[in-house]
Amino acid sequence: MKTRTSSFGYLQRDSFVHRLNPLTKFLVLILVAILTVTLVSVLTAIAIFCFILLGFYGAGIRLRYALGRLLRLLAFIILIAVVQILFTPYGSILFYLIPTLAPGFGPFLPITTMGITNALNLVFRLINIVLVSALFVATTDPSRFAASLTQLRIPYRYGYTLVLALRLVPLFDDESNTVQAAQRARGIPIDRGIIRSFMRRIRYTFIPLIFSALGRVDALTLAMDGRGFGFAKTRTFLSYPKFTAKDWGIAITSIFVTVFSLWYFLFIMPLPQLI
Amino acid sequence: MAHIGSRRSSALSSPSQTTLRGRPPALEINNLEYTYEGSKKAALTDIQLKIQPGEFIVIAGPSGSGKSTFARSVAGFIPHEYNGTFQGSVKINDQDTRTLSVRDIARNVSLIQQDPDSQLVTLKVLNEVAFGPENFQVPPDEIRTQLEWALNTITASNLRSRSTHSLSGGEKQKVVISSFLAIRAPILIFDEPTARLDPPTTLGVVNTLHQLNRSGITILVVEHRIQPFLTVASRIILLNEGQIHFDGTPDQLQKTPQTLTGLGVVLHPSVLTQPEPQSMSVAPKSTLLDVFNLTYSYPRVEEFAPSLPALKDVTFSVQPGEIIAIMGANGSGKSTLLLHLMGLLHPDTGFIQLNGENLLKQPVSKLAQKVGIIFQNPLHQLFTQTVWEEVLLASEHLKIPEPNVARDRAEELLEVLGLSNYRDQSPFSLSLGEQRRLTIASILLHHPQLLLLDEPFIGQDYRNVHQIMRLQQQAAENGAAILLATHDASIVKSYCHRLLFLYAGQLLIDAPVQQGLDYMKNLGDSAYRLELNKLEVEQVG
Repeated sequence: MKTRTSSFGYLQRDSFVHRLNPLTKFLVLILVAILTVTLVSVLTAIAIFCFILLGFYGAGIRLRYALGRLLRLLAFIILIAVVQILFTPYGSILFYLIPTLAPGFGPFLPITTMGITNALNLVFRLINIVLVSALFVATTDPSRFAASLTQLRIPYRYGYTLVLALRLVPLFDDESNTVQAAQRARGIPIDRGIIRSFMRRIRYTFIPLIFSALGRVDALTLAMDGRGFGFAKTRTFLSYPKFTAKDWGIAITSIFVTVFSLWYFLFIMPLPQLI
Repeated sequence: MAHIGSRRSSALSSPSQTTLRGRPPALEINNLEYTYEGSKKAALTDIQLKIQPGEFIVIAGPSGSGKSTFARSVAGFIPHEYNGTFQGSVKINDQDTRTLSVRDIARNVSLIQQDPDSQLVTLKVLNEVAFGPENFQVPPDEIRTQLEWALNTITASNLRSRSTHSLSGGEKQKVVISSFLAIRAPILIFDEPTARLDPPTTLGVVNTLHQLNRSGITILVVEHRIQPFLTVASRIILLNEGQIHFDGTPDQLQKTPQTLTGLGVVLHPSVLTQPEPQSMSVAPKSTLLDVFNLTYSYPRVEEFAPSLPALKDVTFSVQPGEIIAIMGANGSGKSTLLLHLMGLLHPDTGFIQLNGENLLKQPVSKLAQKVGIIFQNPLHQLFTQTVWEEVLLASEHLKIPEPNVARDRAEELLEVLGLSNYRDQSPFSLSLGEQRRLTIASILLHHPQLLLLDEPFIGQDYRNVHQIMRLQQQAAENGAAILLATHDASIVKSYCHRLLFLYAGQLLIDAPVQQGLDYMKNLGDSAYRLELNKLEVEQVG
């Protein structure tokens, strides 16, 4: 109820990145994901991270937005890092977290170079995947994406699944805020006691949300049928994104860079694990 | 128009469609009977009807009389999307709806439903209006022409670049109407099209429908408020308990007003006018609510949204026992004001006092003892498994009143609001109008001092309006104050003491009702016109 802003989704701007064909951006997204997953090295991860930041800059989206995405995952990221650091027994041991307490008892939990490398690697990969996806979603109008998918002869129903999903996100966001405001207005405190408050949340938030979600999906289906969705095997679109010289340039360059990096780093000169 | 027609013919594939196109659209209903799944009583029985192309028909009747079921049957949603028992036939141009798919029917019949939120499919207004024509394979250039026409027709061109989820309730409705207009179906059915609209926009919609009708489109309007349509409708059909109760011209209906008795439908709102509410007899000692210089702006959602403050320097006080109407155009700040008074929004500047205490410092869940609110959409405020639990929910958490007292009061409220029969049903199985009455019952239970009602009359017939307002009057007699956001001047005139008129977030009028309505009349037209100009200027800028 505090804001009407949704924290996830397409941000309408007029930037270089926004103007690119959605398929170009989708290709870059896939390639970045492939590189992130295959090249296990802190160095390449940092390089990819810088590339993504460049993307945000080119899209005119503030770094704060990008960091906002990460903040939600912070607890998860920290947990992964801690688990890796604590429980990787390989590599040279730097020190023990729990020293020898008594003769024959300890030391426990060695902190190793491998543990730290693995942690950094995983954290960077996670951050990169989240950020590059956020960049794609924030700069790609789903309707345009759906239109360009049909140009690849992909049935329009698939493209529209995405449009609908993204349409429903801000709706549920708003609704859960409204439902919680409604609870407080009825005298149901949602902030007292961890367990009780959690139970209340489930009972009084999820039930109305699920009912209203089911109702909405039903109504939305009717609304779509009522406007002829599925009338024929193909449909037209208000506008089709064009594939410009810039798109060709970016697509070809990024395919080349990806293939070259994979070939070079996997077969010619494997990257060291630590910088 | 001609080129759209030619395009349509080339897009048509099945032979049945071709016959549909060849003749003017008309509707024929024979012995229609429909019972919803799990219901014992038929929602419609023995409906026999012929509608000629170019008619303008208003379908009225009390809540639960089968109006919406009728609309769904004509649009083919019944029997295709609902599992119930369907008997008889509905024919669109001699084609039985059972032999066509909903999408085929959609090309000839557009049903514009009540809740705009659940009819928005895409994220941007342009895509939304283009959605229908796109499905029917209209080429992009023609879509653009249809889209501009559809937006202009409903004076929504200024919304063109907005994203759908940032629109206000009234704006969403305009976009939904445009998105159906763009399909250019020859039959349009509107389910309560004006329920959420302010009077100037309502007039605009009536005029638009009139013009569409004159261009040859058959119009069916399902409404509680038939008065605005009396001059434009060619025929009025009254439904009662699922049957046709009256079918004739507006003139015939006006000559036999007794037809309307007991239906909760009124021709002229003045018929229902009770003795004017008396001005407050005893001057109260102290104010209940004081609002000082309230200013608030919503965080900007996007570049194209206008960044006007939602409330600007709003100052007023409320005495115990007052029933106050809050009026103003769609988006003028009525809901925003009510949310502030419940403590759910905090102003950028200014403050609010309840009984002399700072309202904004109190947690909302505590404040709920003294203030009750109902939102526009009742679905957000229903939490329990049964209607009975729902009414008692607040007392369970607030510990007032005593359980015995609460149960008696709950019985009484359900009875008065016509909900006793649903006691053990899920609140989610009720109709929207019934759900709204249930939320009203649930905030009246513990006698809050301040009641905030946001558009409680959507989907209510006049009988229910009267019951709702009787309850408010009782609350006022017991010293509560009621703030009521509504567009319905006749209800305001009949039940309210005072009128606040908001215009673009500013409090323009604060006066006794009659005086306030007169001011509005003088200022009204020009004020609203001013608003339109302003928006257009913004659009250009």
